[in-house]
Amino acid sequence: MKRTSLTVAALLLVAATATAQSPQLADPFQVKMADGSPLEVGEIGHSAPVYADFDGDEIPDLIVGEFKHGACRIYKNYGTAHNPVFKDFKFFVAGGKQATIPPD
Amino acid sequence: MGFAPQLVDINGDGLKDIISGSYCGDAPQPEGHTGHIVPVKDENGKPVSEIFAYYRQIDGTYADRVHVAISHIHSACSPVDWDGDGDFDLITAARIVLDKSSGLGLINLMENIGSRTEPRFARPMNLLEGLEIKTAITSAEAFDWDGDGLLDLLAGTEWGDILWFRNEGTAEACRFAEPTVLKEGSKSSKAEKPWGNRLAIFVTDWDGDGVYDIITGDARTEDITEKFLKEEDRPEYEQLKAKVDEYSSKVSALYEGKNYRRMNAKERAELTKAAQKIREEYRPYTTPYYRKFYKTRSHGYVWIFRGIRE
Repeated sequence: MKRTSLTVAALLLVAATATAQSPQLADPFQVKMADGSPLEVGEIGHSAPVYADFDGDEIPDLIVGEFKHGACRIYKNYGTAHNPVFKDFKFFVAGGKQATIPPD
Repeated sequence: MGFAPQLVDINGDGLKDIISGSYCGDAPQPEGHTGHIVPVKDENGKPVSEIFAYYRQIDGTYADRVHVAISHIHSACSPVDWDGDGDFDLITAARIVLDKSSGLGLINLMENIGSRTEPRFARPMNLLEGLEIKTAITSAEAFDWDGDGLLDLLAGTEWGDILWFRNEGTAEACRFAEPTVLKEGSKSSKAEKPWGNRLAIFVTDWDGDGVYDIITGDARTEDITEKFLKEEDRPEYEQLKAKVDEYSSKVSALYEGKNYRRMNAKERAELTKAAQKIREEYRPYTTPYYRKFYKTRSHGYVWIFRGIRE
């Protein structure tokens, strides 16, 4: 059983040399915007992040789903794969309008 | 989650699509879509699965949502070639399982019984069969966490835990161990840990050190009452707050160790009656407390749990 998704293809691009032999997890740190403020999806929360190249520049971006209005934000990575820089975001658009998966 | 995205070329056309779990248990049938439907229905056209949504990329833009139904609430999905046949299967998780016999949350495999370019998914199969899951699972991903060549399951939970279900089976027949808690969450709404609840997880090597890390999203409602408290109101506030805490402790004790969804009607009625009695007893304190003082702020952050080898 091999993990071969394209999400993983992006992941492998990020870390071609990574191996996983039951690592432990350190206490976490928060992802911040370039201005030092927390990256957050706002009211009601339920942030759901994926780190993968959305815009085709071969640098992974942060794609974050949210509960309110069921929206999805694309945080373009202005930095590098391992030193990401997030300055702003755009809502994911589909069918010519902001895409939503309504929570109700 | 509302929107819980995954970026994946689900239909093998070379373009990355977005698929997502969903929150509600009442998803609309597909309508007005320009992409094709990923059918999550049985041979009679009846929905058989968790909700998930599908945005197909066409020439650099995305088509409108195809939303496919239904049976569990607050679902998440992640793509993986589980059986090594070259197409994408789905690992799904659900926080609330409408089938009461399934316990608290579950992780399913939905095998792609179509093809790489025409995916169709079989009925969900519970990968945690035989394990008693005592917490609600809010996201899951298949990943070989211990590097033994077998896909394990990693999961985020309602209370902010990150769990690892080690695959102790074989390449042909998976079998999952009781979960190892890689990170323990708050276990309550009292925010004992900086990160919140209802974790959505994603595995990647964030810092490029060769050890996989886990990115999570969360949900938390912060009590910000103290920030708005006027000093002249503090004596009244503290008196009410003590009673509200007493009320919370009594209610927690009432539900401790009980699985509401596995109770029969009589047991549920008795429990509800007991809770109502406590509620009435404390209403003179809880009502003014919540009306006059209680203030909250909800948010969802993104956290990096770095993988480390000890």
